[in-house]
Amino acid sequence: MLISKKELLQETNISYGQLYRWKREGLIPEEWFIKQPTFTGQETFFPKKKILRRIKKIQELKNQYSLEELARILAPEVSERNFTEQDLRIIEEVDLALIPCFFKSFGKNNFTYVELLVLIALSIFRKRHNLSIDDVEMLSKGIKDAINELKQVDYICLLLKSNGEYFLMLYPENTGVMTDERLKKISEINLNEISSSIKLKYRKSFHLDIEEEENELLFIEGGEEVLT
Amino acid sequence: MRSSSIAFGDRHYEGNYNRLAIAGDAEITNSDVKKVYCAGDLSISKSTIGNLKFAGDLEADSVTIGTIKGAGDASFSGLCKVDNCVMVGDLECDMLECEILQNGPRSERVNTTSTPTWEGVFKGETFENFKELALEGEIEFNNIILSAPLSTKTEISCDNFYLFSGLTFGSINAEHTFILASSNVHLDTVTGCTVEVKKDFKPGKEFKRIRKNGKYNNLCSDNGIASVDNIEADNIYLENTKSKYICGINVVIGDLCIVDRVEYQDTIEISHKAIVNEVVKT
Repeated sequence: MLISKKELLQETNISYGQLYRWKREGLIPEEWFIKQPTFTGQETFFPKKKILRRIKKIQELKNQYSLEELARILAPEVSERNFTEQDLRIIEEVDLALIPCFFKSFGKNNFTYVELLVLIALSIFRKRHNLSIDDVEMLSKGIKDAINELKQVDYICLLLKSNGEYFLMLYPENTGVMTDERLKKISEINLNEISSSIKLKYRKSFHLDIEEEENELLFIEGGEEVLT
Repeated sequence: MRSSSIAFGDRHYEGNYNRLAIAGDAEITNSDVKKVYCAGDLSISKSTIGNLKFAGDLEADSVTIGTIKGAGDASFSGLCKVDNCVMVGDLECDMLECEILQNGPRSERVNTTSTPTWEGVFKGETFENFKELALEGEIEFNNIILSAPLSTKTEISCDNFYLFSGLTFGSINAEHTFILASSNVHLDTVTGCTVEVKKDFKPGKEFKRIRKNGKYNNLCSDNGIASVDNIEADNIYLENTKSKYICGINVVIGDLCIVDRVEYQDTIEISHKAIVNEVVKT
């Protein structure tokens, strides 16, 4: 669903100058500016949910961070850091009961940043849909090779179900996905949203792309804030 | 103690020098040199140069240079930093960081035969363009001042954008945009905080504060009409402008403007010498 620029400016109470400044600084991706013909010529539209959520976040954070820092927080780039078991135990969004299962199914002792985001997504799915540990183990095994292909985090993690079995799918957030009708879409999570929140919340603990130390802010509350 | 060298013919230098004057090809590696003058092809790697003037081709790899004035094709590989870089010729780089990057000489007496092409990522404080340029890379500068046509396929983004020449390309997104009205200006979209299109330019405080090489005193347009299809900004001031769609918070449509549709939020002024088809308060 799209929102016109005029509606966006009215709804969010921002000016043209702010909107285009944020575009220049990379806080709003260029591909979100969608030009469409209208009866007055041409008008710019945006993906409504995404842009409203992004502007709300910018407005909340702009007094605490410079635009450059905010761009890093919201950027889909991947942190180079690896996460050990000790790190996972610090990250509240990772379900502690699932940690042994993650080590077993991934077959290694530390995780990349993208893998961490998927582990958080799995933890949220588990909480939301009462998945068993066996279900999560199967999902982890099934998706682990696909995660290696991801160089950025602007992906949607989609939980599907068929004949009592769960499946995961990762697809770029700017595209739609069509699935076999026998696969039922259960839930989806935007990895980029998790990434922004994690970068904010744990930047002190893990130096996640934020250079200056500032007061800690908590963004994920029960995982609900980041869900699409 | 630093030594100086005057050389005729090909040379290789390594070490600390005060001044190198070379007529011929030269290679400078792992060096710290205050001044280099070279007529011939020059290759510099892992070195720091204070002042470089060359006529010929330049190949530089991971260098830091104070000032470059060069005529010839140049290639920069690795991360190269130059404080003030004035180039005439093709330029290719991985990443070139400059406080000031200037294409072409300021003097109109110097003629170049063809349009140079620049490829790569150019970053810095101020980019000044004095001769026609084909840009096939990215420019990330706070201030962009164009006194000659620039062709590029990407939107130009910067804090301050000044256009004193004809220009035909897509879009500009700048905090502040100034366009000297001219019949050779054909732009698709200009967005930002402040957009001004005027028939003359008097440098204000903001402009004077910008670090730059050129002198831009009291410029006047050819009295032509600039064509900018869409303008969106908080504050808009237009003279001699033809536009399809304008929207802003405070809008002034001055003399000799032809506008299809204006949408404004707070204030609007329309000159009796302007033609505006439709005005909408939003």
